[in-house]
This record gives sequence, C-alpha cells and structure tokens, in this order.
Amino acid sequence: MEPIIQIDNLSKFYGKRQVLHDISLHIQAGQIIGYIGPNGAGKSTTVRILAGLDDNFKGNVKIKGIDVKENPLAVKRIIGYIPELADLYDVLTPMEFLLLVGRLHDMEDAQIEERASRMLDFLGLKDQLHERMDTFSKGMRQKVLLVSGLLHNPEIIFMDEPLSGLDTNAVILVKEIIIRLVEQGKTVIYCSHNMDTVEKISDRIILIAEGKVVADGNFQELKRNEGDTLEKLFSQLTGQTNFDELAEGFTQTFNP
Amino acid sequence: MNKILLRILRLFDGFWRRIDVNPDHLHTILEVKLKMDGRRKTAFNYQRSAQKKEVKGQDILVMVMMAFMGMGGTFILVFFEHSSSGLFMYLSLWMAILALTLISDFTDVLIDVRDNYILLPRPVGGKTLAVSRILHVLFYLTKLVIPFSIPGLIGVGIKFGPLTVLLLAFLILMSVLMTIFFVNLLYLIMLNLLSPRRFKEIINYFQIIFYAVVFLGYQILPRLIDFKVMEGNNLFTKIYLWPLPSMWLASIWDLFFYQPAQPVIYVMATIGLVTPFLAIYLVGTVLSRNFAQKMFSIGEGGNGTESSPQRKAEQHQRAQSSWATRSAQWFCSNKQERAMYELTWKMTSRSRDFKLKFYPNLIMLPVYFLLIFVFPATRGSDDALQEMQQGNMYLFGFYFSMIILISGLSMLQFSEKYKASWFYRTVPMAQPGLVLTGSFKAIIVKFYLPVYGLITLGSGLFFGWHILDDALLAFFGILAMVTGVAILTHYVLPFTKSWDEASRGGNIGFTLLTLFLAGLFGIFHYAISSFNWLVWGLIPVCALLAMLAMRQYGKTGWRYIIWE
Repeated sequence: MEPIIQIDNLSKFYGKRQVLHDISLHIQAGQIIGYIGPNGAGKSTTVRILAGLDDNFKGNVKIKGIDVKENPLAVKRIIGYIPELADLYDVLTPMEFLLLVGRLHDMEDAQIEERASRMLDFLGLKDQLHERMDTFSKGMRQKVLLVSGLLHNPEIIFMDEPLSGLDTNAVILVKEIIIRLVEQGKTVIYCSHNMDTVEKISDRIILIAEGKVVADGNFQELKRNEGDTLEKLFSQLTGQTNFDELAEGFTQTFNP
Repeated sequence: MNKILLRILRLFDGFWRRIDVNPDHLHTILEVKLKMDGRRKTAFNYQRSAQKKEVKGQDILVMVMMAFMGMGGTFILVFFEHSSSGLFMYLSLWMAILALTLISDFTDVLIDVRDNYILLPRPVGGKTLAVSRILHVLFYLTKLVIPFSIPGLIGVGIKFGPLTVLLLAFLILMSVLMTIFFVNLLYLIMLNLLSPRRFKEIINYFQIIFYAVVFLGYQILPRLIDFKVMEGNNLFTKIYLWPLPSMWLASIWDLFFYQPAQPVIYVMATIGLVTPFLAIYLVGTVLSRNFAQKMFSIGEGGNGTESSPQRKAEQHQRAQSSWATRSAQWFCSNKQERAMYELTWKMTSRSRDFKLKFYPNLIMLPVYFLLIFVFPATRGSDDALQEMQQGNMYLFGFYFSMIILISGLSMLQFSEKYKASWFYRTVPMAQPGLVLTGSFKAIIVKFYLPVYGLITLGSGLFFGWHILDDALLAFFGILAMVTGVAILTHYVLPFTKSWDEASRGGNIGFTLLTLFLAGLFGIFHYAISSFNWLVWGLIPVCALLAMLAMRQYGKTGWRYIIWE
C-alpha cells in the first residue's frame, strides 16, 4: 500500500547549520505517529515542511502522493495543522477566528458555524464562543487552535504539542479525540515532550536527535528491557542519563 | 529626574522605618516602577517607543513637552489684560492636560495588576506596598506639575510680584486635587456603566484624543491665538463658564486683584476653596474603596458587567448582518476576499496600536488642510472667503484625503499579534492577492469613503454642487493610482509584521510613489477642471482603470508575497 506520507532524503539548513540530516520515512494511513525528540532536534521543522509551510528544503516529500513543494495548496486542503504556540489575533472571538480560517478553506459559513459551535461545545467553550480571546487562558486558546486545525475535516493532522496548557480533563479528552480521529481513518503526526502520552497512544514512535532518526518502531519493539518506559528510552537514546549528578550539582549551588 | 526623586526618598528612611515601611523595599519597588514608566508607550513618546531598544530620556521628553505647554499657558496668563481671565484659561488648559494625561497615560499603570503576582508572593509588608503605590502616583504627578508650573510661576512673579507666585502655586495644587477627584469620579462612573473591555476601549479613545491634543498643542495652537481676545475681555461675565472648576479657582485670584467683587465671585471662590478638600475626603473615604476593587477586576480581565453567552450569541447574530458583513457581500467577489474584508474591518476597530497610530490621522487631516491651504488663503483680506468660493481649492481637499488611504494601507501590515499570521500559510489559498484586495477594500469602505464623502459634502455646500464631477474624477483617479502603485510595490499580507518594523520606515516606496503620481494626476486635474465635458468624460475611464487595477491586484500570487 502506498504510504500516505513519504519522506525521502529530507535535509534542511538554517544558514550553514544543518538541522535535518537526510531523513527518510514512510508513514501508512490510519496511524498515530509519535514524533519525539529533545529541544532543537528538528521536530517542528519537519512538521512545518510536511504541512507545506516551508519549501526551503532538500529531498522529496509527498503527502498522499502530492509533492509538497510542487503543489502545497493541494496538500493544505487535506491536512490540518495545530502549531505549538497559541498565537491568535486575540481581539477576535473564537467564532470570528474560525469563520476566517473556515472561509479560507472554502467552507460555507453555515457549516463553519455549526461545526465550530459543536466542536467548541464539546471542548467546554460553548459560553465563550462569542467572547474576545484576549481574556482567554493558554488552555482555552489551545482548544481554539485545535478546532481551527480540525474544522475542515482533514485526512492528515499535524499536532505540535497539542496538549500544551490544557488541564487534566482536557488532556484526557483530547487524547480520546485523537484516538477516535484515527479510528475514522485519519493519520495523526503527534509531536510532544509528554512521553507518557506518546507511549500510550502512538502506533509508531519516531525519535529524532540532532536532525537524525535515532529510533523508529512501536513501543514494544523499541524498549530494550521489560519495565522500560519511553521516558527512560528517550534519555538513553538521546545520550543523557546523568540526571542524579546534574540535580546534585544544582542543589549544591546553595553552598558557597 | 527619577534618580533625584529616589534620592529624596532616601532622606526619609528614618521616617519610613518609624511608620513600619521597609525603606529598602520601597526604594527597590519604586526604582523598578519608575523604570517601567520610562519604557511605557505614551502619547508623548509613542513613535519613539515603537522601537524595541530602550530609548533614553523618555522622562525628559515628557517634562520638556509639559514645560512647552506650560509656556503656552503662561503666554496667555501674562498677556491677558484681565489677569483673572488669563488665569482661568491657564488653569483650564492645565486641568485638561492633566486629566487627559491621567486617563490616557496613567490608566495602564493603575490597571496593571502585576503587583499581585510579582510583589505579593514576596516578603513585602502591606504598608510598604500601599506607600509605594501612593508615592508612585505622587512621583508621576510631580514630573508633570513641576515642568508645567515653573514657566507660569516665573511669569506671574515678574509681572505681578513675588507674593502672586505663592498664590499661583496654591491654586495649581488645588487644581491637581480637583482634577484627581474628577478623574476618579469619571473612572467610577465608567466602571459602573461599562464592561471592563468597553472601559479599556474608552480609555483607548482618550489616548487617541490626547495624542491629537499633544499634536495640536505644539503645531496648531500658536497659529490660532487671537490677540484681540486678550485685550480687555473679561471672561467672568460669561455665565456659561461659571460651572467650570477652573473658573472657581480663578475667582480666588480675582478677589485679590479686582475689588470690589461681585457676590458671585465670592460664591465661586468659596466653592473653589472647599471643593479640593471635600474631594480629598471623598477620594480617601468613599471613592477609593470601590475604585481599587473595580480596577482590580479590569486588570484581571474580569467579567464585571459582561453580557451572558446567550446575549453574546444574539450580538453575534446581529454582527453577522452588520454593515461590515453586508458591505463585504457588495464589494467582494468571493469568500476568501470577504473573509479578509471582515477580518480587516474588525481588527482595525479593535487593535489598540492600529487605532492609536491611524485614528489621529483622521483628526489631523482636516487640521493640516486648514493650516496649509485655508488659513494662509483667508488671512489679510476680509472678503477672502468669498474669493475662495470662486476658486477650486476643494481639489486640494480631495487629493489631500488620499493620505487616509495611503496611511491605512501602509499600517495594515502591522499588528501587535503579528505572530498569529501563521494561519495564512496553512490555508489552501491559491491567490493571496484576494487577501490584499479584501483588506484594501475594507480600508476604502470603512475609512476613505466616509472621509471623502464628508469632504465632498462640505465642498458642495461651500463651493456649490458644480464640484461633483471633480469629486468623482478625483475619487476614481486616486483609487486607480493607489491600486496601481500597490500592484507594483505592496505585497505584504495584513497583520503579518510587528509594529517595531513600522518605526523602521514601513513601505516608504509605496507612499512616495503614490504621492508623486497622485500629485501629477492632481496637477493634470487642476489644469483641466474648467473643461467640464473632459472631466465628465474621464470619470468612467478612471473608474474602469481602478476596477481593472483592483482585479489585477487580486491576482497577486504567492511568489510576490513578502513575509520577512
């Protein structure tokens, strides 16, 4: 079966600094892909390239057979992107913002309003639908972002830290939503630092460090010993295990 | 100035300790607050503070501006033949400036609740916090009062003798107390009547007005002073001025200078003496209690009198059939263009920075027009107005209004939330040109059309309705010109750049080229304006050109769009 996401020899430079090194990945439809790595590993850069937001890269990237560089608009029609930072024009209300995004996706106003109201209602923002977002908490903005990425019913969803700022109940709800979306046949690329969530919901985990894929497989395949957690595995694979030493050093700074 | 004030504060360390205030904490808190004041955007330093880097001497700038206004006031005070009337003018100016400064500038400080997050979790005593807040306000007022009053004190000292210096100082102090009282009262009324957001919006409009007043203060007023008014004119005879607090205070001065006085002067002087003290009592007891609580709810973004979700939904329904939505359907060709039209309409109504930068243009445009074209033409001749009516000066008005269009379009690219523009890249938009035309059309319909309509109306009433053909030709000519230049130079999507970049020049090429071409077209129009058949003939040509240019602009592709 043809992969829904096909990445071949992807490299990316910021000036002279290479942030992605020859990455090749093939992803099948209907999976949750946990895309993890330390800060600055290149996760968000990969996602931005896949979502057609950055066309300055080397290599071939195809989404559902469409070349991202050649036809980014066709790609954008079938994907949803939920960015890491909840940057919004906060003088707008959620409904106004979603009407804007929906219209730019060529949706009808009635459909946008109906779908956005229902989605926000399920996320507990029914009462704030027409309230300006400048008084919203980070979690509330994150929920609006989530809806903005799903509103047009995309086939592939890129989520960069989607649980950021959400309270515990909302985290549980969003995790369940992700699972249900995949059950409907959608593909979710899920970037996060929350190893526990990634371990629990991902069908496949891809770990990158310094722009290279250092591990790829499901959690059962990746773990070396019974009782290993993804967190432990992450530390081993990214080469940082001296936490005792670092913590001791830090707390010793109180002593002259 | 801050250093001097903080050094003076240090002199009272012993006193602070005696009243259970930690002088070191007090000094640290005030030092930081004064530093933050210096970096705040104010009407005085708004343009300069748009740059991210710290601008030194902000305080000095504010003080120089106040001294300048003080000198303007002193000029009136000293040269008014009836000195009490001069003082009335001086105090009115002072109280208006102080009230506007307090509302427009200091509200940000008053509603800043960061104290609660930063200071409250630290081991800082309650008394230290309270004293730091009072002293902060006092320091702020000192920096305004001293530079404003010094020229006046020197002026009256020279003209009326040293004792009057003391009297004026006393009256200025009374005026400060009264102004604080009235501002406090105004706040409380607004807080009770308006939701926190509406309150902030109203404050925003005060800031815009103040920005314009500062501009008018040093650009226009000196040219408008009419020396004839100062000759022997007694303003105390005008009953409609009696309710003004500055009149009550000036009455105290009047009692010293003009005896025997009318009974009404005694009454007003008594009110002037009693009100400030009554004001202190009311501010200290009744008003301050509610005030702190209400202000806190504003800073917290509290709901106060916010409407219910159901009411908001109804408001949303109404908004959907609003003028913005309806006009979007008339002027926009498709969904994406309409979406941007509505976004621009809403953002320009709600973005604080846009309003603060753009709206003063709406005030300054007629002022500049009067200053540059009308005043010079009407001076020196009694029947100058009649002469003007025979000419075609209205053409200057039509072309001058273009500034609204150029500045609106130039400022549209900036936003305090420019990072939110990520969504442009995520949506499947084939023609970003529609984003550009959608927002451009919003600027035309929301700002340019009403201004142009008013100018046409005014010109029609003054010059006669034969100007209609010229109004139409100038309108379409300007539209064609601005859109044409936009096709060549203006490829930045709306709300995608930081205001910091605006201070680095924005799109100067667009502005200069538009002004140049429209200037040329204006000269051509001036030359042919007497040939009515030609003017009427050119109107459909220019309208067609404007339409074609707009269509072409809408076809702008992604490769032309400038992001960085």
